[in-house]
Amino acid sequence: MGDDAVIAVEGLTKRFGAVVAVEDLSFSLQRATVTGFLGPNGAGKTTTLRALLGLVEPTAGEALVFGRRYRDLQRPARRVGAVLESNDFHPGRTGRNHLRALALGADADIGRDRVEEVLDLVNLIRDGGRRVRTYSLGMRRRLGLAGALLGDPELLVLDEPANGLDPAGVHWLRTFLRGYADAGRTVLVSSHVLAEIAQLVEQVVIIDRGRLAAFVRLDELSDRGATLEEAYLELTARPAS
Amino acid sequence: MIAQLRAELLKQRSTRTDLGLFAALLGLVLLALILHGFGLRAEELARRNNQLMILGRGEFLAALFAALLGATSITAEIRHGTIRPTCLATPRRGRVLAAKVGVSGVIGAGLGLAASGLAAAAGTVALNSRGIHIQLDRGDYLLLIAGGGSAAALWAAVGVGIGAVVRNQVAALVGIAAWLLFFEGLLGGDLGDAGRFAPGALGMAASGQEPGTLVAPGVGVALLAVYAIVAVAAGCLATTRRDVA
Repeated sequence: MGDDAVIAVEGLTKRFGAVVAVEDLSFSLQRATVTGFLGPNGAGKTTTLRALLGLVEPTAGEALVFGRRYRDLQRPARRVGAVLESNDFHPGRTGRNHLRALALGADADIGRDRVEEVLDLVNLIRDGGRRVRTYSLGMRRRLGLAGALLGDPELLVLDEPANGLDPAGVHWLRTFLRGYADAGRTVLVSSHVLAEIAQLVEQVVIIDRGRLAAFVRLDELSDRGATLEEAYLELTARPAS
Repeated sequence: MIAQLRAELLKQRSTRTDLGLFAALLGLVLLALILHGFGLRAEELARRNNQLMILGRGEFLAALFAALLGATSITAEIRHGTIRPTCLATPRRGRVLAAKVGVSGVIGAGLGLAASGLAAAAGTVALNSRGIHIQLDRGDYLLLIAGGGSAAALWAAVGVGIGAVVRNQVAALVGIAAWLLFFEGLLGGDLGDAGRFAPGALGMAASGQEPGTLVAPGVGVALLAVYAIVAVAAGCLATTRRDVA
């Protein structure tokens, strides 16, 4: 594992009572890579991302960003932007005030002008003054992304970002992430919908039942004449019962 | 820490929750004062202790609403999921909670001062209009209002602690309301002397109610502060130790 690993997951294990969500998971991601994080529902993707972001405490092992635990980062909003759920908003607060409160709480010199910038970036500048309860799912997705972008972070972590988006929304997201990655940033995006991922990422981490199933580059797969879907299904196949 | 305080202040200003609580509180205070001031018999209203108790309804209701406001400041974040982006922006969760205690405490004090002031004014008008001699002096009025502000500020902190431990919004709010409105009232008699040290009774003591029965106002504030510290410490422990789901 190089020192410049943006994400380093080492022997990560997380149990919730008797349930093992993630077991001895290890992988690391280098700077300026766009990585898909795949696995069936319940494979442990969300738990892994939450451990990475300091929201859940690992039972064993560690999950580091930029070589540190998330909570030990100086001004984390400047390093990492993350969206975990599609609807983490107070319905009675305006989109703009949601972002302003986050900007203040981040304590990282994120001013009001930056709030306007990210609203513009996600095409919500005209709707920023409306309460979130009036937003469509697509608008909420974009507002969540705007929150992650406030600190102009080097790493973007998105959990199932295309869930519930219509085709135009998925297209917008893909275009946006492509541009973000082309600027030399690092992206980790989880999904259980392969089609969303295949056109966007250069490599995939596949986990199944809390364990690493594969970590492959998409061009290696195509060299072998395999599609992502074939590889995925093979790796995560359940024995017929 | 200033940043987190400003963030929390914006959060509380930018929804209608606080304004709604404030309006409901003042409405209830007026209603309580009208019911007591015009519903009770004149000879009852003439007694000094009853006058203190009636004018002290402002403190009692403000304590309740401040606790609800404090609890809501954290349970609403959990309910709506904003706790996740909040913790990403401020991974030191103790700071998030401390900011909630600070802002809720200040707003709670505002609720307490406003409700106590309104109760004192409305009660005085009601008693005067019935020709009942008011046995309270300037010191009593000052204590009603200042004690009401202090008690509500401390109850707001208690509310933040309870909200952080309980997490479920409905359970926290119902629990607080049930404690103040029912349990302390019902159990107060059964607890005997110990009832004076229940947190609701300490708030009432802080505003000078039931002198002789309750503890002295300064003691009431100090002991209520101990409750607040314990509740916030428990909330802090719960918030930093538990996973954010």
